[in-house]
Amino acid sequence: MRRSLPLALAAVLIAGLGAAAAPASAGRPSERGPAVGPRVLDLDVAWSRAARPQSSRTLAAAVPGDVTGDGRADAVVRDPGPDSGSLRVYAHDGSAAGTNPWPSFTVATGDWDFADVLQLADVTGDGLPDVVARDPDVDNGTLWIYPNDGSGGADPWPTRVSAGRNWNIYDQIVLGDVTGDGRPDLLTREPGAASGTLWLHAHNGTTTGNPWTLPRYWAGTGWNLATVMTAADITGDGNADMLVRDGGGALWVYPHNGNTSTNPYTSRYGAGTGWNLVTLLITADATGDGRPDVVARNASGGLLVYRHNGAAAGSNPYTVAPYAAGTGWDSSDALLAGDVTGDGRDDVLGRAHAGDLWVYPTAAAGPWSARFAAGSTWAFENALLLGDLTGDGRPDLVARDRAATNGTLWVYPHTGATSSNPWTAPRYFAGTGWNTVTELTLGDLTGDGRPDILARDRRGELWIYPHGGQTSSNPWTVSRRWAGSGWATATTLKLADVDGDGRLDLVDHEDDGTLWVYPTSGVATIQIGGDWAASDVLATGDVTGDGRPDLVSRDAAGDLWLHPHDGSTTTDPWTARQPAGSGFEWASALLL
Amino acid sequence: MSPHLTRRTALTLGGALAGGLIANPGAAAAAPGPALRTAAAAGPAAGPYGSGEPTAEEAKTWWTPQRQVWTPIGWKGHLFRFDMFYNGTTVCQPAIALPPSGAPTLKPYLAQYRGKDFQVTPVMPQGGGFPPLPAEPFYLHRSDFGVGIQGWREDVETPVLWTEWRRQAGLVLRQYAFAHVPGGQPIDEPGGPIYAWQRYAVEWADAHDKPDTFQFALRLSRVYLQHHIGPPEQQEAFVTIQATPAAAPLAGSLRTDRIWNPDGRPLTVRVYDETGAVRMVVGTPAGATIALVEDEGHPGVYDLRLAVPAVEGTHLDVLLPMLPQPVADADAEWALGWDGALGECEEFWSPRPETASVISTGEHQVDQFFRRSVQLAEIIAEKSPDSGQFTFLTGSFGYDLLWSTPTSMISHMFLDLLGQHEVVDRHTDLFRAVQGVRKPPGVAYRELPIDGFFATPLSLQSFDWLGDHGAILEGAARHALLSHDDAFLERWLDPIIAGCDFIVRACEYTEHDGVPGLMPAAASNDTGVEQQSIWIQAWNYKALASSVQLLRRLGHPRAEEFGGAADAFRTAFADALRAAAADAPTWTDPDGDEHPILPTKFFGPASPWPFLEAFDTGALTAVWAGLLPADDPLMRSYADFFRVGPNTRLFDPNHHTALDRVVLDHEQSSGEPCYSWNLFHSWQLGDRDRYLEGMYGLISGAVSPDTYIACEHRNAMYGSLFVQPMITWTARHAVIDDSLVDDEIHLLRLCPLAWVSADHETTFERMPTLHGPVSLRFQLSGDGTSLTVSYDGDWVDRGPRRTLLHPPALPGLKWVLVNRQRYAADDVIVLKPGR
Repeated sequence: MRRSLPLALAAVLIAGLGAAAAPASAGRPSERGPAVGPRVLDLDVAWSRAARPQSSRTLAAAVPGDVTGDGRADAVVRDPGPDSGSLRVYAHDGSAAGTNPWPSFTVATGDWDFADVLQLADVTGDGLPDVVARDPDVDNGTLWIYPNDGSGGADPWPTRVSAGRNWNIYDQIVLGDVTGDGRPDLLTREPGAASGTLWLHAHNGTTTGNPWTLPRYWAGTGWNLATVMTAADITGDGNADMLVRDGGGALWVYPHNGNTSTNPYTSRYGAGTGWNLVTLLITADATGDGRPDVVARNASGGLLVYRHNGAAAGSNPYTVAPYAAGTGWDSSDALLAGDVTGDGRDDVLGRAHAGDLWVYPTAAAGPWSARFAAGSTWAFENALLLGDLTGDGRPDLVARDRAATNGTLWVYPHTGATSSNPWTAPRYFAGTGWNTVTELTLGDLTGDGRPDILARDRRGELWIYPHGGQTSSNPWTVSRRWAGSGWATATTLKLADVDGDGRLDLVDHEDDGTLWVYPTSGVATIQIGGDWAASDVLATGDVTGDGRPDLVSRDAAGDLWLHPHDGSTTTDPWTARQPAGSGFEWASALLL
Repeated sequence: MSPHLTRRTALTLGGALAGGLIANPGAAAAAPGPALRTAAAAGPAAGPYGSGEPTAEEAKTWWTPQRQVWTPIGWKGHLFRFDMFYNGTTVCQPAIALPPSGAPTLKPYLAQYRGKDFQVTPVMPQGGGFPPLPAEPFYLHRSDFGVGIQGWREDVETPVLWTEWRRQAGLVLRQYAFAHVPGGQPIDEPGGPIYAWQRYAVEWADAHDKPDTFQFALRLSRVYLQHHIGPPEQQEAFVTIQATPAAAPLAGSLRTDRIWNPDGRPLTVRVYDETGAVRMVVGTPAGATIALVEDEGHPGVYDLRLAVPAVEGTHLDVLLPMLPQPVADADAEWALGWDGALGECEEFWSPRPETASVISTGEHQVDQFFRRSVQLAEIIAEKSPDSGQFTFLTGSFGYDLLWSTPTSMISHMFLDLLGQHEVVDRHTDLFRAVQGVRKPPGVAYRELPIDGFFATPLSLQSFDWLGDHGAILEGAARHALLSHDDAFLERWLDPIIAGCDFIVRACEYTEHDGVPGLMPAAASNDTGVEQQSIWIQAWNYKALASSVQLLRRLGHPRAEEFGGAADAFRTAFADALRAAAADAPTWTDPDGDEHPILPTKFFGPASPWPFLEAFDTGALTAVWAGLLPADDPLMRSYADFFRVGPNTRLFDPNHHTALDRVVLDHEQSSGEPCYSWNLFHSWQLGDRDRYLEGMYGLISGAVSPDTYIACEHRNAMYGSLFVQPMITWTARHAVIDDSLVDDEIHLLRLCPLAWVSADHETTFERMPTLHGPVSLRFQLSGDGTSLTVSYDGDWVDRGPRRTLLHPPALPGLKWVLVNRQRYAADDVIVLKPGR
């Protein structure tokens, strides 16, 4: 991404800096210590395409974002926390069944936030678990293998090897030895084909390159029923069976039938119901008996072990009551299992996320010199939006839990608090499957005064999910409506009534550093002057209180800039700027 | 048929008897074989007036639907054509689609377009998504049986092709397509811009059960439909269209502008190539969606995903240039709009030459066949940039070069018979420049002067056949005979005489190992084998004989000299064939009689294509050429060889190639139907049943009954007009025959009863004959007792010596009123002079 600024803009920047009045405390609170490296919280927004480590980015904002009720858009900023994106390794301590075997963790450095698929398996055949990760935003889904270097150090996966591109056609990628050669094969689900076609990609034996180059073969259809898929040898025959949770919360074992070149999953048997109460589910040998146990996280962030009861194929192996394996796991948005420490026992790895949310009220004197806390448990979500969902005139918070049911949206109603956390009321559910979109924005596009969702799918198409009028339950149950295409190269999409016609227009920040306004009226597109390549945060909202949307940007140094709307409706309205605070490089979300 | 029983009497005795006459008892066998239609099988009341005669509609049922048909849309004489497949796929192939060799001489002016091909494939939804482009090659017909629903719009003169998808979601989506060049005028620059306008319309929607919107995709790629030459499997069609996904990726990327349309307004969306030129333009209606998505499994292949409201009349327009166009040019074309462009096309396509014939038989398929075939003839043609001259092409997408021998039939057996003399003249002139320039393709000719030798221009030539000389000469002589065009003669008389001299010299040359008195051995077909084939004798004799006919009409001083040479040629041929027959192997007919299996050549090595040569280019051509009469025992028995001989036992009706052993399947060559020379036998013999079966068989079985495009072999190569000449010749001679007897015209001699109706006046207006254009109209009276005939000749000189009318064999027909003169309908009527 280009980082150069035009001379004219640079001059304005210098002038702006000279005029900056925001105190140092306007940014990250000094009591939190020095800023840590940038973090990425969103996993699949299109503009998080750079290889790790990545810069902080923000998500879309709704208008108006007036949290405090004074008529001005306030800033809502998220601090992702010190270990965000890293893998916490919970080494198995040898505890027997019934006792938490993973009581403490160490942090493996590295930032894995880019990955929407994260798996652990010995791909290279050296007996050490390698990381397999998919970056959905590079070449339509690049799969990377991070070989374990055997160092046992802070980052055992320092390098990577490409395992091909275009893996985004699959929405599930799991690893397991299906062909019986001792090497991990890929099991992928193509959701658009025959209600979910499962494909098997056999490991070709290579230990240094892409091991999944052989022609895939078919392993049945209808797999879209699965909300969780994991491969493990549950029946004890040496072949990877498939453990699946369906949408109703039932768990199913698909035993491997012995076929190593054709569909191995031709039958199934039940493994209990009610599994939809857990938010993450993997298999790992917690008890050390050589059989895969189910390890799951419950809604309160506690980890539970459902030990394998030794049942043979055909009988439910998970009938024994679970035992606890620690709490606080809500700070992880992904769980992996594997023997990282080399002691023969399965360790658990959690991808860390913490998140403090801060509200920076917009004072009449200007933004944003003070703040108040709005909670510290925003660990799971990777999309935050502001909008008045409940119709009470206050901006509610909408968050996506990426790990739950392929992306669950939650609405946190605004309580009316104006100087303390306003989003403490019970949340309510707003649908699943939102991981299929790469950008979410809120705004009234249907003209009914209620915020609709504008979402971009992986193909770059825009869809409107109209607000159906519900104020205490999922408002987005009405059929979606197409709104555009060709937006795959957009790094940020905003909605704002730039041309003042009462309709929200689309503000488009492109990956080539250009910024555009697409009026909804259909008139000519407006290009915003300047090079915006260095701006990794863009938000729109009426900060100045004149009823027109202003633009807020963050530069590479972490400084915020306010670009007041100058009243132009057919040409660039954001031709000037003024400083709006510095030291915001830590923020992983900035909402207006 | 018994010579003692008139045809009319036989038919009036009833269909069962007629059926018995038609049926060939020798064909009855337990094993499947070529179809021989029987009126009895059709039922005694079937056919017009219960006659048991076939119709075009009935003939459609004789075969399974033809597979993998493609039909071009285009502009008269333009260098490029859009080839529309049965499934709506559009192929834009500006270069040679199937070069027969890597010779740099082949259309060098197309070299600049190599690699610039483009394919637009409509993809219908399947299982909630779109089927991906497969990874492995596959034969196209295996994906959908190779059959679609297609036709021409009939309410406009412009050839507007439609293709239909009947979707069980509850609607019918129809694609319309026509070609347009900016300005709508006759072409000036042959390689200038040409556009396909396409419309995807919701033609019908179920009132009670339909979706709100219907989504489909246009898959954008390079041309990946390829001709698979050679039987890929046992008796698979010879030229099978193979989808080759590896060929699909475009070299550069495609993109659209970013689209923001939350209100669902109608949009105009350009698709750009990597240079910023416009690859296509799409106009969407209100409520539609559009998205360009790169194929995840095939980078470089794009799906343009489209959705339209499922409301009848809703449509989406696509503008597809053959080659990417600058934005301003594409925008200017787009600004015309569908109606504007079509309006210009109507202005272009509506005018007809003053000499053009008009045919209306009352059989819809027959009439539309002629209407569109004439247009296609100038579409499958080009104005060559190197010479600036027009030429017919042998086909579009595959045979877009010039095989002069079969393609000459477009002139002398098709367009000239329909009064399209100016078109024929314009597309024949190129040969004058090539006369006496090229060397004949045979060792024996090295010692002979090349003066007068006609050949195909090298840039258009696929294979060098010696028969091309005769074919070109026949085209010129026949055009002069039928057009009576003095200006043409002014340019062509000397080349025709020089062409005759070449034939005479060749036949007089004896320093070769073949039969003296005939054309020496030379390359005769695509095998390149030098042989003294019957094929080169037939074409060169036919041309010489036609030239003699012309020169005699002109009173030319060399007419009798060439007439004598033609007589000698004919005699030498007959003698040689009888001698060869005496030594030939024999076959045994169902009655136990033995007959010779006639050779395909008098001298030369074995050919790799013996079965094709046996029929398509073999001895049966002798009747058409005038070398032997149809009632010659050799001709009778050899025609029967293909009807009931041993080939029939090996014939698999559903799996055969152009190179397999040929049989007559509904009197149609099972090899290449355009060479169904047996029809000339039936014509000359007055074998009405076989004649009509063959004619209707060709109309319904060798051309697409939907688009009228012809095949070379059924289910194989399409995009050609191979069969149009044979159909035209038979249809015209069925009602107006100036060929049976010198200086006579026979009317209605073999006229199908389907064309005789009280509800419709059948017309053949301005039909060129050797004596001048003839117009014929006839209609049955309401009570079926009289036939009113209007007959008029615009004679060039005195007209024919005699005109005879053969009353249709209709029960109850008593009178024939010819130009108000009443005749009894008992038997052949000799029209009174002046009537």
